[in-house]
Amino acid sequence: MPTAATGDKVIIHNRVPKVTADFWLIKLMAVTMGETAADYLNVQIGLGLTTTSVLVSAILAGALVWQFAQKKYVPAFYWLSVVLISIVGTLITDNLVDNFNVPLLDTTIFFSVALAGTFVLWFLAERTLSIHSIFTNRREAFYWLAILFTFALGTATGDLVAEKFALGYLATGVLFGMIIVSLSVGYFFLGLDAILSFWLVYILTRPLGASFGDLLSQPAQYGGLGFGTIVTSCVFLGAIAIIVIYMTLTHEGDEKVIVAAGEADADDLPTAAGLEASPAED
Amino acid sequence: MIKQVLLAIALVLVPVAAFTGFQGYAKNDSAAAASLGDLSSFKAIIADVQAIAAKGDLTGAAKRITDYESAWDEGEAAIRPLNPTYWGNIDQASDAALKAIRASSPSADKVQKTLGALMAVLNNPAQSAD
Repeated sequence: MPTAATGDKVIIHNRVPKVTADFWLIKLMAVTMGETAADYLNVQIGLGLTTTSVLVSAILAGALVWQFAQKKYVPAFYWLSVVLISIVGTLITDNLVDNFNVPLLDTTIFFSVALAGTFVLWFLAERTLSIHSIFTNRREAFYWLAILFTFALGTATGDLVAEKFALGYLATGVLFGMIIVSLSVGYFFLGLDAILSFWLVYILTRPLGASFGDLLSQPAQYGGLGFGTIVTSCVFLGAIAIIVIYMTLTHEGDEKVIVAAGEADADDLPTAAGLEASPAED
Repeated sequence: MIKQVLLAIALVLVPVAAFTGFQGYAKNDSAAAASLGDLSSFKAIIADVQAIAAKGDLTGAAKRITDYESAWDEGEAAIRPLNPTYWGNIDQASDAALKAIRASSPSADKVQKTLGALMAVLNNPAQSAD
């Protein structure tokens, strides 16, 4: 077993990115694109909701296999998985509501419970919900399961608020934006727990981004700006690609974790050569 | 931890309360028709139908109103969720006007009345059709 210069501790990679401003920027864009792309796949390709869902889920499964195999944060694979989860999460909720006629309130409650259950199991198994120390397959599995449920929950919540209360896209976006700002104030100034803030804001960026996506793509007579789902999806995909390239080149999102040698999966530990090649950041 | 959860709940409820309060205040002021989006294309067709019917050409009016009918049906999926009650008011008034125009021997008086009522509810969807 390789040992680092720090004795019986090793320095390994966090498999998910550092939470920075451009993390949130690309997350919002991935969400927005997920909404418009799911709309596009559904309506314009005309395969039907169920077939589309199965197809994209299969692609997501492949992307996640790839992501797990990286065992470190590689922006292209991570964000590809996030975009696909955004689309699949949207499609699952749409399927439940349109095909199985489950009311939006029920879907919202179901995914809230599913998400809470995921966190409970995660905490019981790992004793921490920190997203800065995702360095085992099991932790990464909990992480992605939570992400999937946040997307489904965010979709249901956003649709519920927009439709039941007839707010329209702009008003819904403003509402969720205000809640996110409030939680951010809580984190930066009122001592709100970092992990709690992260996951709450993460859920809420979904309805925020979805409202924004609908505002851009829906026709003018229904309150949108009329750019259409194709143009909106392509523009955001392009922006995401540019930021992913930037992140890959600058390594800004990379996080290293110092752990006791016994904690990490044996096959995750870096080789001695790997340790020398990538010194820990401060 | 409980303190954290309570703080989080408070931080979510404050903007929701502020937003709801503002919405309640704003909705009392704004025109009811705004909540269904822009209905001017529908109003334009009905104005046209009214003009044709006023000249006594009830057959021409029946033909022109099918354009309204198609447009209204096509728009249902997008318009109805915005405000199902208001949509229902317009739909009811539309049905009354369509029925009057398509009657086997249409009464010019009844056609004029139902078209007028439909135009009125298009201008103010909050009023329920009689």
